[in-house]
Amino acid sequence: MNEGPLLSVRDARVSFATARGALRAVDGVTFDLHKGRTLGIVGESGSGKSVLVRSLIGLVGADSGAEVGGQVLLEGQDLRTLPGARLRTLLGRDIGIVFQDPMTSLNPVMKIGRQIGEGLQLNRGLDRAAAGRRAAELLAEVGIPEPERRARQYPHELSGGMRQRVAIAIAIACEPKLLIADEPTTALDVTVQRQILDLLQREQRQRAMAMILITHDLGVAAGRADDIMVMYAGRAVEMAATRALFRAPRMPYTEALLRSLPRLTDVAHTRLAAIPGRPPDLARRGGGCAFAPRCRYRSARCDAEQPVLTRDGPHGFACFNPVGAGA
Amino acid sequence: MSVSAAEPAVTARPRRRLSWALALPLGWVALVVFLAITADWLGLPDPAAQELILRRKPPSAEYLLGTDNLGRDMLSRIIYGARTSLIVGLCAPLLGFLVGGAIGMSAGYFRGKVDLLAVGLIDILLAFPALVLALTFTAYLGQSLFNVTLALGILSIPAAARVSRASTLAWANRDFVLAARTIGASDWRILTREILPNLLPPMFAFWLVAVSVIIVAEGALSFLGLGIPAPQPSWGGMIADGREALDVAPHTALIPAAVMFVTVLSLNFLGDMVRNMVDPRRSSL
Amino acid sequence: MSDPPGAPLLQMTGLTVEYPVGGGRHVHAVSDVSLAIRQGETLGLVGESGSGKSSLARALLQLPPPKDGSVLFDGQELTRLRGEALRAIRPHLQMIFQDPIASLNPRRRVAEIVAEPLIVSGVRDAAERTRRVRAVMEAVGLDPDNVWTRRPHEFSGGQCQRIAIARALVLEPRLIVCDEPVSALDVSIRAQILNLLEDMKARFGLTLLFIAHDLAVVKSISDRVAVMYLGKLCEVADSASLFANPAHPYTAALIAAIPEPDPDRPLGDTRLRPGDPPSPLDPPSGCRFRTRCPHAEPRCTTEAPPLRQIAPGREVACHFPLV
Repeated sequence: MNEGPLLSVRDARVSFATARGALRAVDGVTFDLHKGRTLGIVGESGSGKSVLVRSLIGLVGADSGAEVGGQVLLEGQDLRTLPGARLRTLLGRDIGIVFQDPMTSLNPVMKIGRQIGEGLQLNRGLDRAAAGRRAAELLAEVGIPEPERRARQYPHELSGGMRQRVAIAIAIACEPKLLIADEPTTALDVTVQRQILDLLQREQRQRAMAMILITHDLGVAAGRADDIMVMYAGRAVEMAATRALFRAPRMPYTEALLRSLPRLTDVAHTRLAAIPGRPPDLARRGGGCAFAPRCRYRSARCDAEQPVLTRDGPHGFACFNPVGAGA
Repeated sequence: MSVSAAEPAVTARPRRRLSWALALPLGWVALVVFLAITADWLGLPDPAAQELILRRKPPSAEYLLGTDNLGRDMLSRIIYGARTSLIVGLCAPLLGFLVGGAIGMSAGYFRGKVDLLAVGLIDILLAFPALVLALTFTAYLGQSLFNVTLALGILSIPAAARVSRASTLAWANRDFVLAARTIGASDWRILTREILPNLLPPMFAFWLVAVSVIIVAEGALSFLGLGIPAPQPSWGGMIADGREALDVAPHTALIPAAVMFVTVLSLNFLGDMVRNMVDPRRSSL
Repeated sequence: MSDPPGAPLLQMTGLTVEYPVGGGRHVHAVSDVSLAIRQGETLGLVGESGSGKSSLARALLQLPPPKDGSVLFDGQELTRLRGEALRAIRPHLQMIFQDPIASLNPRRRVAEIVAEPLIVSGVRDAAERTRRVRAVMEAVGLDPDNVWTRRPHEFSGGQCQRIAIARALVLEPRLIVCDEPVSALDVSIRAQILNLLEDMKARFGLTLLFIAHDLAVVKSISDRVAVMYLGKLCEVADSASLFANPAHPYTAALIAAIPEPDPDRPLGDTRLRPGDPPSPLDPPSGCRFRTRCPHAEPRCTTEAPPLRQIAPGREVACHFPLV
């Protein structure tokens, strides 16, 4: 891969001022994403994964009461320093987003065809008729039968799976270079989930887009992401190629998470290796590693110092006592 | 792996600092209430005592707010007028909320025929032009503090019923209400112990706003001469009296108007503040 | 193949639940379902949205009573009970909900919430109530002194679920219906709560009906599993057999659709015919799964397959089962 990365994020920070002190929702995240690759960002609630991605594209900023820091380079341009109008054009054309709940991410009082066509008219300069035609084509491409009829319908007339397909159509309409999917299938049934993820993957391959797939479901990440970044309490605690992460996790959190999952391959009533405690309160963070209170490899250093992401080849982890250190 | 038994709660209770936005309106309302209650012991001149020689005097050292058309002390009349406004303003919505609240809660909880009946009743009451209804009431039953309060109270029933019905609908579908049914709680118990406590905060916030509306309504009635009869002072009546002298002695109308304005504004602010504070906080999963 | 743990604690026969939605139409949430829950077992109930699993659970508890069918609990016909008689049965049948925070009254304190069932069922002695509430709180891993006067919003989802479990346990029920108890919780907390449920079941001799859409979770905790689709039962079997050799094509599709946290396992082929799941407002005739089933034949359109036993402990509703 000789090209530079499509997206380069350096030390992204997002912090909110709350009554209880500064809440560091994203606390210094750095990563690269190359064209055609899928990065899975995995984390639980409070990990900062959604806030991170929303801050990258400007959905979380000064007007939401957040302090945002760091660099976000899309093909070399720093999104953070672009003036509003330029940023909006860039976002409309080069980045497509699919959100978790299609019922709230689609406009309930606007026909579907028009919602898809809107972006085309704004960002690609198509006229109404051409946008309408392209919208019907896109609906067919995302697997909606009778696309012309559906284009004239409203979101509430469609099922959840279909609405998410529409959301995907809107996201890819302007041929973006980067597709961001924030928990795109969490609200869907498992059989529909499979179809939507297949669709996302197919569209990504066909259009050679880069994709960021945010999920809390390790199974989804395992099957669809090339590389995975695990987030915990606002920081990236592990980054690796998917296979390497699952086969040999270095971060104790990742290891513990994998061990605590019930598997179809287990015998029934296998005692689950639960992780004690719960995710930390971001407003009351102490100085050391955020995972230390729940970690089985905890040492004195973990409570005093915060580990930085160190690399062992392509595999990065933020831990003083990583798994497999003795090996 | 044993479960950690002594997990601390997620949030410590935050200290609440009194911001200016809350302190000023609260202070004003508190002042008005205090003065209204202690009026008799403040050594004020008789609000009904006329001194025609001293009529329409502007504010001075002796008469802090001046005198009105008939030479009566404005400050004294304002304070006694506050009493009238507050009694009507606090009691009328209370009546409305007790009756309307009960109607709305039943409608929202039991649905079906009860809901249909309640909504129909509310719609009928709302169809009457409010002021006309109040006028008819006082004209037929006579003008008195009690009748005015009663009339305005009845007029606030529909609004209260709507608020409590909407709120009940939202709460009655929550899982904790279903949980209460699974343990065998009776409808009465569910209404009073599960739903009502959740209804009180939004109802209280709305009540504060209703108070301000009723104060203005009473003012309007008195302005029209159909509210509290003279010589009992009332802000609306004072504005009416002062209307004739706007060109020579504007203070006689403007001072009661200003006092009413600030009081109503303060109550609205407080109502908004309470509404903002009231949302039950949800911790993240 | 294990022996069934015991006689049926609860027997549902011909259960039917329908909701009117205006215009004379009805949602056929549950259609003629017959299912037994055996004493001391954990019965898993899986299905996607529209399958009717939550409606079944609520109908079981008579909240509200089903349109048709019988629910026999411990020899008593629940559908015919009303008022006081129904309330007298309630202590034996409890429920835990999906959203732990919404299942607790935000205005009440934790101690009151857990004590409420005792008050409602007539335990007058306050000291006795305190004793029992403390005992059950300790059992679920909560520190009574720490949580006593606090309100639900001060706790995390996992802790709220513990409180809800404590409330369900305080009346010492025979059966607890768990409606997606871990779906809304963080992944790292799920194992804790699942372990807790297993511990409580063993300690108090409970029977559980465990509803979930996550098959791995269901397999982990259940003895037997029942699969529902669009209001009907597809398959009932013991956990191991169901997942090793599913008999119903829908079960096979569900298993294949699960994203396993193992990048080396290729994504299974669900083999479902493309198209949206049908609506419970207007279920397909005959076998309701036929519109998406890869093995559908003309017979499936005209004749609804009955639930029949194909092996000891295995029932399936399919004309052409995979086993």
